[in-house]
Order: sequence, then C-alpha cells, then structure tokens
Amino acid sequence: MPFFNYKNHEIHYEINGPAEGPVVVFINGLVQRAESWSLYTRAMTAAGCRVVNYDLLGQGMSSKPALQIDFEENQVILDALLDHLEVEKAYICGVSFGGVTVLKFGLDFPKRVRGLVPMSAFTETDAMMVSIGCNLYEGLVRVGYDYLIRQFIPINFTSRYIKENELILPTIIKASYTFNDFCAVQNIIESIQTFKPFTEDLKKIKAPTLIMNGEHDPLTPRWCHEAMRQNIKNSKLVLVPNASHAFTVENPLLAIKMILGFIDEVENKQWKGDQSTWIANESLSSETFAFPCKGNYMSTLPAVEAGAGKQ
Amino acid sequence: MAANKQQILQIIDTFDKANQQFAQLPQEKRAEIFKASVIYKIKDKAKEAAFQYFSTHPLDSESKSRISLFVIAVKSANAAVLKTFEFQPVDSSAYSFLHAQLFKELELITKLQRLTPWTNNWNVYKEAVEFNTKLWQETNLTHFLLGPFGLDRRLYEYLALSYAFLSEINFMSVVTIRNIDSDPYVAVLHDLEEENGKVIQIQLRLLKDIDVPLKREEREEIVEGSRARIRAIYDQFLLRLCQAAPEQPAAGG
Repeated sequence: MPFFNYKNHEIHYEINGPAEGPVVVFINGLVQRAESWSLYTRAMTAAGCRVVNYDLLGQGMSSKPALQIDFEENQVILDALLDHLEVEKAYICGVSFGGVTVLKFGLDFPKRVRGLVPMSAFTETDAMMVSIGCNLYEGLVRVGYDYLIRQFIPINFTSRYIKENELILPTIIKASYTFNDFCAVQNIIESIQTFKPFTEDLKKIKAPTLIMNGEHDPLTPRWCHEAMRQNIKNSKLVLVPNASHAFTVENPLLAIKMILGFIDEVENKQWKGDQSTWIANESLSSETFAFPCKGNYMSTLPAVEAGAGKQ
Repeated sequence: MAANKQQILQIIDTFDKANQQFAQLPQEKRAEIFKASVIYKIKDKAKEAAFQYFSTHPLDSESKSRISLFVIAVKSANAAVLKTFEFQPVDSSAYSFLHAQLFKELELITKLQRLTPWTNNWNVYKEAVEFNTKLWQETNLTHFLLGPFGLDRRLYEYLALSYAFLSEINFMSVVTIRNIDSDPYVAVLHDLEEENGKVIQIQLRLLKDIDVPLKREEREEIVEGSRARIRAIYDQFLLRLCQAAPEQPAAGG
C-alpha cells in the first residue's frame, strides 16, 4: 500500500499499468476513495494506460487533518504526487469535487496536462447548489456521516439504479462509513467555503478537455458544464443519457469508453476541440461513441413555436 | 500507446459481458457477491482485524459488555474533566458548550448501561479495569482535574483529548450489522456514535477558533498527539476484543 509524504501528511496512492502507457489520473468525489476506480483501473490498464488513483488529503487511507484542509491545496498535492511518481504529463480525470480539482490543476499546472476530463463538476454555484450543499453539510453535522451518504443516494443515482441496487446500497454506505472519517469529510466540505467562482479563468485552459455531464444531474446541473464548454476553447461536452450526478458509478463502462476514446483521439492527434456538444451512445458495442447533440439541450422541455400557448 | 477504437470496443465488450452475467443474478445474490468483493482495506491493522472478526462472529453479550465497559470508561473520564468546568466562572462562550456536553455524556452513559446485556463473566470486568487504568495513565487525565482552566495550552490539550475520544473510538465502523434496528443494543450504540458526531462539533469549533496563544502548527501537533494516544489505546482494545474473553473460573473449590 504505497504512501507519499506531503508536508508531514501521508497521501495514499496506487499506480498500475504499463510504464510506457499514457498516464491517467483519477480524482475522487467527496465521499469516494481510491478503490472506487478499481473497474476503471482494470479496463484502462488493459487498454495500455498507466493509471494513478489516490485518496485526497482527508479521504480514505490518506492522512486526515483535524483542523483544516485547504481547498486550493488539492491541485498542489497532485502536482507533488506526479513529481514523486516521476510523471511528467498526464490525463487528469475527476468527478464532482474531484472534477473541480481537475480544472484547477489544468489552470495551475498546464505544462503537466495531456488532457482534462472534468465530470459532474462546477466552476461557480447558484442558489440551488448552495442550498443543496448547506443541506448536505447540515445533515453531516447535525445527524451524522451515514446520513450524509444517504442524502447523496438520490442525488447521485437515478431511480432505476436505486431500485436495481437497493440491497447493494447498504454495502456502499458501509464501505464509505468505514473508510472515511466524518471530521475529515467535514473539513473537506468546509474547505469549499473559500471557493471562489473561476468560470472566467477557464479561458486560459488550452489542453484538450472532455467535459461530461449526466442527463439528470441535480447537484451540478447542465448549466455548470455548459459554462465550461463555452469558456474552454479546446473542449467538447458529452451528455450521458439516463444518468445522474454519479454516472461514473452508475454507468462506468460508458464513462470508460468515452475517456479511452478521448485519449485515443488526443494521442493520435485526431482530437478536435471545437466546443461541440454530444450525447454518449448508450450502446456499449457501437462503433459510434457519441452522437452530435442537436436542439436546445439547456431546456428539459421540447422546443415550442413562438407564440404557442398564448390565448 | 493506448488502445485504438477497435481495441477499446473489445475491452469494453469483455467487461460488459461480465457485467451482464452479474446483472442477471437475483438481487440478493448480487448483493452477497458485491459485499464479498468490496475490499475493506483498512490502514489501521487493529480496525481491520476487528472488521474481519465481526464479519464472522456474532456480537454476543460478552462482546457487547466489553464494548460498553470501554465506551463508558472513556465517557466517564471525559465527564470527570467536564465537571471541573461547572465550578468555573461563566466568562467564556466555551462554558455553555462544555456544560451541555457534560450532560450529554452522562445521558449516553446511562443509555448504554440500560441497553447492555451484561455478561456474568467477571473476567470481562477485570479486563475493563485494566483498560480504564491504562486510559487514565496514558492520557494523563489527572492533569486536567486540578484547578480552573484558563485560555491556555492546558485547556487546548483537554479539548484535543476530548476530540480524540469522540473521533477515534468508533465501533459502528468495525462491527458488521445487517439491520441496526433489529438489535436494541446496536441501535443505542449507533445513536451514541451519531450523538458523538454532533457533540464533536463543539470540540472542533473550539479547537479551530478558541483564543489561546498557540500557532496553527502547535494546535495541529497537540490534536494529532492526542489522536495518536487514543488510537493506540483503542487499537489495543480492538485487538483484545478479537480474542475470546478470558474464561470465568469454575465456581466452588
């Protein structure tokens, strides 16, 4: 179980796959751990990638500072980890909280980036997101850690997934409870208090960027990802159908397929970051990875003719 | 070099076939396989040992008694220090928090005492005395019983110790429970740890914000030191808990 020392803190990481393969880093969401990416690791190492996953400071098997975690330190820790692993450049993928770190890393350490994959991420918040965030925080503080995880279930997953996995979800909750420390998770959440919108800064990102957003994501909704698409010139936005915030858990093979397709295109210089929007093809066996998304994808209502509905 | 599109499709297909086979199983079977497949790698060896132990052993009355005696010893020790604040002038915002915490600790001790199916094996109680002694010696608890507290390092050290009691000792993360509500003892242990989560907010807030002449690095060092001490005692207890309780000698002579 390898650890890397960062300012007297232990950071747990795992690295797998062929030494010559492109390096792909996965950054966890708030209550995940490095193990959460085990399917990704198996599939992507089989595809010739060298995969790094690690626990953020305060998560899983990494140190859990009691007093404070600095939100802006996450990308610095990743930079130090890549130094430690002697990795010059990598594809940086991350979901939710980890997706924010992906973008921050892309801004602060552009020379280390081969490509960025922010998933279910955000660069600013609106009143609804703040309200949900406050409820999650209050649930953690006033009720407890397992309540926080239970609050996440309807945010992270679709109704179909919850129904099909109602006997498995308790194990997911238990695993999260066993591995995480609620004070440390609380510190991670509190670290977001210093979060400042950085949508405008995205214009500085030049790296190929694959932005992914679940169709029914209630926590980081469509507009968050649309803001990324509009501001990152070398980007594409891919919408994942029939999925929610944690589509990386609900439909991991689809996410893996999209990421591997992205890496293939970048490595072979076929990538065209044209700020276009796509819908991921749910058929895993299809050679068409995604379809162009037409129409107004910012609305959940079908387009109506001007004046329709007026008396 | 990474895979091309055809190779990607082959890899995805391989994993998808395995997924589909899994998806066709009844949900009960899937849940069972999933549970066995979740790798509970725990950094702390004692916690891992306890987790493995309770995956195969029931939480019987001896285990419950041993856990309760340990938790009650810790909470009683904390309450003993908290009582010293009752005699202090009410000149700090910390007072009202600590006052409330004292009565919460006493309430939780009472709840646990009522719901524990106490074992008749007196060796369990003898073992508890050993741990209680170790607890008082290794945390230097008597240092906090003397005289009033000022806004100083000693107060900070106590807050760090109290924080460590609440954050490091967590039995719900190691015992395997199918249905919390089916066992009143487990339900109260669960409630107690949930309450700890709320009470700890006081400590956490004070540790971060209280106006004592200590730098952030010194504060971190004190908190980490306390956590390490309590973790060591808790780990020793967990390792002992994984072994059968000492047997009761036969009666008579």
